[in-house]
Amino acid sequence: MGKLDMKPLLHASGVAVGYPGRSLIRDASFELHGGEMAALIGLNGTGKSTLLRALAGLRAPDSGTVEADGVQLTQLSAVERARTVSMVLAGRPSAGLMDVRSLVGLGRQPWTGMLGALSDRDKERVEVALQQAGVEPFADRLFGSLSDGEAQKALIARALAQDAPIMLLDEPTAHLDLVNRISVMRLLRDVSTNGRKAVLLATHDLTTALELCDRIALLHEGSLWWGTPAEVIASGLLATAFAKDGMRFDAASGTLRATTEKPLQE
Amino acid sequence: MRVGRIGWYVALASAVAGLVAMELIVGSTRIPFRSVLQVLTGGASDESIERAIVLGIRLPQALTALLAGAGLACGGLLMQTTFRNPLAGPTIMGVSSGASLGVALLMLAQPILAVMPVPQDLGLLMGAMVGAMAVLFVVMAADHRIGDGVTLLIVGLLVGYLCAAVIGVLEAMGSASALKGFVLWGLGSFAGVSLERIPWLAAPVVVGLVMALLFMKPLNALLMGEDYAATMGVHARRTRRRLLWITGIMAGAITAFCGPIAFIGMITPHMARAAMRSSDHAVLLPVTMLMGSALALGCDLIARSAITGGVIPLNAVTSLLGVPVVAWVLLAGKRWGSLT
Repeated sequence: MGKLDMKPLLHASGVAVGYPGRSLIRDASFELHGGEMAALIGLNGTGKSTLLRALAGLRAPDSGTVEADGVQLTQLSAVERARTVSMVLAGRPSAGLMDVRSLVGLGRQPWTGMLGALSDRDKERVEVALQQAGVEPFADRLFGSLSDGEAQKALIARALAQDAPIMLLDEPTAHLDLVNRISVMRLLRDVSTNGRKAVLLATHDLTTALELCDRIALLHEGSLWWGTPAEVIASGLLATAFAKDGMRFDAASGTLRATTEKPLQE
Repeated sequence: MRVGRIGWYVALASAVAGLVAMELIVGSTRIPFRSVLQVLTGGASDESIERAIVLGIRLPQALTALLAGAGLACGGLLMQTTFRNPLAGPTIMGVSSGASLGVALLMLAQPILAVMPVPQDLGLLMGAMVGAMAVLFVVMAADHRIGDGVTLLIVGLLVGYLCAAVIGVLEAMGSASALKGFVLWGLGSFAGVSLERIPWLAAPVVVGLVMALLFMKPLNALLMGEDYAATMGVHARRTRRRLLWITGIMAGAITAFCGPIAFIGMITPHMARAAMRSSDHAVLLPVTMLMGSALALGCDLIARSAITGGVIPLNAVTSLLGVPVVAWVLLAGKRWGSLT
């Protein structure tokens, strides 16, 4: 873990999210600082994506407040919000006949004028983002022609070009092979540590999250538990949250293991 | 790459200019280009037949095709990007159906048109615009309540079917002469607008085209979907509504003057993407507008050429051209689906 910035960039306080007739998260409170990377983990349907969307301002929380860089998200205009929070959504979007450089250039939209023309500074930021994400070699290829791993890095480059201090990612390593999973996670670690960004990612890749993230946000039964990887392992909450038939959490190795034994219920 | 794009702009602008010139020259009475120039520069006498034909018939028809083609094609691009649906067009939201219903009410229920204190063509324009706007209001109300683009698309289609059903009832109840007039209007034509009425068509279309150009930035963001656009500072829902208004106003005005014109709105954006190999709206918008104009002018020339005897309806020509393109889009499947 690198040195953290004093002032939190992302501050959630008593955030509740859900859908009509179904509460997903009752009370999520945490602070994420510049230089910190946190993983949002939990089983499917526990509200990871819904919480991320609320933190990005794509939907309002049912209650509670979200502060981004010291300002309540609801008080920011759409453009101000985009300058503060960037997001990589789950899945691979269709981007039409757009090459990678143009796609990354879209990240500059919050900073451009009415017609979206890129200034020299914007173009410079795009090139830096392309290099940082390691997608510069295929910058002129169509986004649709990329492999899943390359596409994910291109989407991260687009978010980097947005120059927002907070970056949210919804399952950025889903559908990627081991090599690409590690590569993407290392990239995000670099973005966080060297770019001084607050990075929060939803993931099912527990092992890598425990190894590379500074904080773990564990969603279980409507509550969010926030702590360091060591704390969350020591608490036994991981074992409880992921205790399902045929699976147990091995605290010693920090991995989930398949087993024929019945799970330990605490 | 840049030279290629400029080359396309020049080629398309030249094609449009050439087709306009052909519209002025070609017809049952062939008028030499020099005479056309004389008429346009005020050199011809007021009583000359050439002047009467060029200014009274062919110039308004060419300008109507120019404007209608650009407006429909532009509307098609806006709808395809907004709804991320390669088969969307200005007619998809039921706007053209609404305009048709407005015209049907006036043409098939004669007393209404007879008592209107305006010339008949303006009455029809007003009827079509009111019909188009009424449908847009319904769709907007649905948007306010639903918010989901795909569902909204279905609402637009349903409203279109409803309008078609009411038109069917009106047709069954209308007189034979009124029905004939309405059927002829429904075949589509660029020939029904006089030079004096061109500004009535030009104003909403030109304003719509300019507005569309001003939306090129959010349109590019919308290529990645509304959620991504929102994360990049675009107020996606508000933008969608504004794009619907722009398309609706252009399509309503064009339908009022020319009848429902098939396929130009749907197919032109695909042709533009294929030519430019780009989805960037800064590139696509002007090319789509120029291609739409060229296509409309070309179809009009074919419809009234000597080869076809000048009796083939405009919509038959646009459909003969449009159906293969749509089939191509469908058969090419994923590749073309990804273009929007």
